[in-house]
Amino acid sequence: MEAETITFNETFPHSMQEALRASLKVFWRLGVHRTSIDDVCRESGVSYNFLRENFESKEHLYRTAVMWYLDQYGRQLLSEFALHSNPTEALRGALYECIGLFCNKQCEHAKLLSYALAAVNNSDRILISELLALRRKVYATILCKLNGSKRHLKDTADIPVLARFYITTLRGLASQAADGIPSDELYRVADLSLEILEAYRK
Amino acid sequence: MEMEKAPRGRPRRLDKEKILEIASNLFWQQGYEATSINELVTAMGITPPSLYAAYSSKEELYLAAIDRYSASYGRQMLSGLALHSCVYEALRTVLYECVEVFVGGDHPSGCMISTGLVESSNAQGALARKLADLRQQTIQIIADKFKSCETQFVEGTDLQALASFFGATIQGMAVQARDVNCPTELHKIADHSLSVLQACRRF
Repeated sequence: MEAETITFNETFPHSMQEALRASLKVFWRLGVHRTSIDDVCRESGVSYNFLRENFESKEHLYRTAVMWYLDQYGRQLLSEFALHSNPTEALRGALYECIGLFCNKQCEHAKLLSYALAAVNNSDRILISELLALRRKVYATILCKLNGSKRHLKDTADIPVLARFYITTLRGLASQAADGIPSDELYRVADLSLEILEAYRK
Repeated sequence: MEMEKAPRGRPRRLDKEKILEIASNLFWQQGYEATSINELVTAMGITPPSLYAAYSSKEELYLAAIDRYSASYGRQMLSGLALHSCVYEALRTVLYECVEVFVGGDHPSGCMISTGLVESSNAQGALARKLADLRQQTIQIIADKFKSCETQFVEGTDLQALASFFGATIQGMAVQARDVNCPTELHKIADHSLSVLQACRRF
């Protein structure tokens, strides 16, 4: 089974999702290079046979787990855009949603998402293409939202540049969250960044 | 890959500055974890014992590389703060100098500190903390500049949040530079973020 062929839709087996979630926790805690399939089984309680039947190698398991994670949380991250017709509120919702996710100490994988956007260069090579795809998706979604709101914006608004500015802000917030900056400070940063979009609104 | 034969005769003298430059570029390009000792010594043209004679561990070498980066590029990026009394000009110079460094040239793109280690696992916790502290230091230096120029701001401006905003812009531009290595794009992003500062200015 190749990781690239997996579609993480509602029919994706719950048992597999649980196994991926548990495996990712172990990889995350021990570090990918130092973790074997045996470690994953011992630490997570997922059966060895189940993992061996479904994954060719540790790398295959890790890549699938990461893809599943990014798909799940990437969707959550982008869902806010659809909720608001006002572009400032749509972006505020998305930035707040990200900050909430990045700073969620209950979520062991929150850091992965912030790394995905921050693109720290110690990311495992396996991840690189997946992370790049996620970043492109986020940029394309922001661009699409701003283009859809063109009639609300002044003619002087350079929409592609604005979209790049907000992906830059998002990635800066991701880096700061990964460094442990408190969420209330990050919300203030997000609000400051939104003053730019407000200045371009008719 | 065929291994190169070691040159015969007296071993070359170790040029510490040169090996540090090579190490810095490799760490900057690939990160700490992805850069192996083997790769380092191959690029430096020395043997592992020679490297360990100069630096007791990969961690010590990495710290030296970070110090080297801070002393040269770090200083260059923040030079605008000392050069200008006008807060807008000071920040504009900082952001443009950052772009100059981030787009590379004779060195890797991005920023060794912004895109360096974060606490990905417990193994490199101390190194990651050091980098996080350096990133926070940058924000504090900008905040101190804002405070020293307080009279230039509209009353009630949240100077700490404004400094964090520019910290986020700098870190965001550093990571963007690795995907889109285009100075014009980064300058436009810098100009957009400067409009926030402009809106907070009294004159």
